[in-house]
Amino acid sequence: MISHKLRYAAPQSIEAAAHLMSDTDQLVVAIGGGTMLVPRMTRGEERPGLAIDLRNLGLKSIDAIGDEITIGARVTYDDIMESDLIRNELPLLKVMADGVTGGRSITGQGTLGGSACFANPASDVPACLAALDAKIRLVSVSGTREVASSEFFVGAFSTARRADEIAVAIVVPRPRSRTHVSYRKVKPAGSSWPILTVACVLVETGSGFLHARCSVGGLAPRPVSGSGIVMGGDTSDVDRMLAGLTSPPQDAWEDALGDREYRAMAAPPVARRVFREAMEAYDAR
Amino acid sequence: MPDETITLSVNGKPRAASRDPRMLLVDALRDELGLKAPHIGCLSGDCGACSVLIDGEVRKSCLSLSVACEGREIVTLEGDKSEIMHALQQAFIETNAFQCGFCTSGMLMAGADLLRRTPDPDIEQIRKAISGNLCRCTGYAPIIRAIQKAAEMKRNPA
Repeated sequence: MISHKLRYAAPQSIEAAAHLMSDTDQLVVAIGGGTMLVPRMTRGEERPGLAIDLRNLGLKSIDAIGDEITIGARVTYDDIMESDLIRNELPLLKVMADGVTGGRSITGQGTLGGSACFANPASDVPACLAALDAKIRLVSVSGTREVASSEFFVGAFSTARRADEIAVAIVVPRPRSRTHVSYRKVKPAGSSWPILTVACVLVETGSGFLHARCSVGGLAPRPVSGSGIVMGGDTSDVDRMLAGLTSPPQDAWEDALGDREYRAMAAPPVARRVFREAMEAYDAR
Repeated sequence: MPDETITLSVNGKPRAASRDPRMLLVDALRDELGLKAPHIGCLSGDCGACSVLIDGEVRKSCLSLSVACEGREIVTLEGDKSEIMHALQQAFIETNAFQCGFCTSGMLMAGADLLRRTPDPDIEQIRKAISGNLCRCTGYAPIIRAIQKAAEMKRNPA
C-alpha cells in the first residue's frame, strides 16, 4: 500500500493528459508501464499528488514514417521482440530487449519510453538510444518538441523532460542501408542491474566505408557516444575513438554494483569487444 | 458522488475493490478479496512471489495499482484450474520443487505462462521464464526439473 495521499486519473486523450500534467500546484507523474514508478511510490521515494495513467492513450505502435521510425513511448520490450520492422532495421533494440531479465512480467510491462525518462545509468535503454541518435518526442500544453538523446540525458535520473511534459515517442532515423550491431552489458549476476552497457552500430555507407557509432552507459551519469569510420578494413579511426570514449570521465558514475575504478577498468576492453563483434557481424553478412 | 469501489473480474467473477489509488493490486487481492496465493516478498517487482495473470498475461501484482486494473481480468493461482497448472503442481510435488513454499505460487504462474506459449521449452527458455522469480530454498534446479516434467507430462499423458 502506498502511504501518501494520491489521486489517480486515466485520461482518454493526450490533450487531457497534458492538461493534467500542467498542474503546478502538485507533483504529477505519468505511469507508462509502472515497473519503476509504482514501487518508488510504495517506498515513498516518489510522492506525487496525482498519478496519470497513460494506458488509454495507446502509444504502443512502431511505425516507419518517411525516414524515421517512431516507437510509441509505451512500447514494451516484448513489443520490440515481436516487431519485424525493428528486427530488420533497428536490430540493436531487439538484441537489447532480448537480454532484459525479469521474465515476461517485466518485459511485457516495462516500456522503453519509461526507461528513457527514468534515465538510470544502469538501464539498457539510454546507451542504445544514444547509439541510434534517437530523439524523444515530448508533449505538453505548450506544444510538442523533440529532443536529441545527447541533450535529453542530462545526468543520472535526470532528463531534459520538463515536469509538465509527457514522452509520447522515441524517434529514430531510419538507417539508409544494412546495419550490423553488437550490444553487451557487464553485470555482477544474471538477475542484476547492469554496471556497464555498451552498444555499437555499424552502417554500410555504400562506398566501402562503414560508419560506426558506439555508446557506453554506466561509465558517466549519462551515456557517452562517439562515431568513427572503418575504411577498407582499417579500424584505427574507431579504435582511437573508443579509447577516448572509454577513458575515465570527470564525472565518473558509480553505485553499489561497481565503483568508478572498476567501470574505468572494464569499459575499454568491453567496448573493443563490442566493436569487434559488430565487425564480425559485418564480415559474416 | 464518485464511486468508492471499482469492479474487477477476479478468477472469473466480478468483484468489488476499493477505488483508493494507494492500493496495489496485490493488496486488493490479498486484503480485500481474501486471495492469499499471491505473496508479498519485496514490493519492488524483483521476487515474483506476487505473480498473477492480468488479461491473460503474467504480471507482478505489486507493480500495478488496483485502480489501474478496473475492468480487467485477473487470475490468481486459486483460479487456475487448467490442465497445464495441474500438471505443474503435480510435477512440483514429484521433483520436490518447493520447501517453504513462499515463491511457489509465483513460480507456478510463470511456469504455466511459459508452457502455454512454449509447450516444449528447453532449459534456457525455462530459466528465462523464471528469471523474475526468486527462490531462497531450492537452488532452482528442482523447479526447472518440475517445469520440464510438466511439459513432458502434457506431451505424454500417462
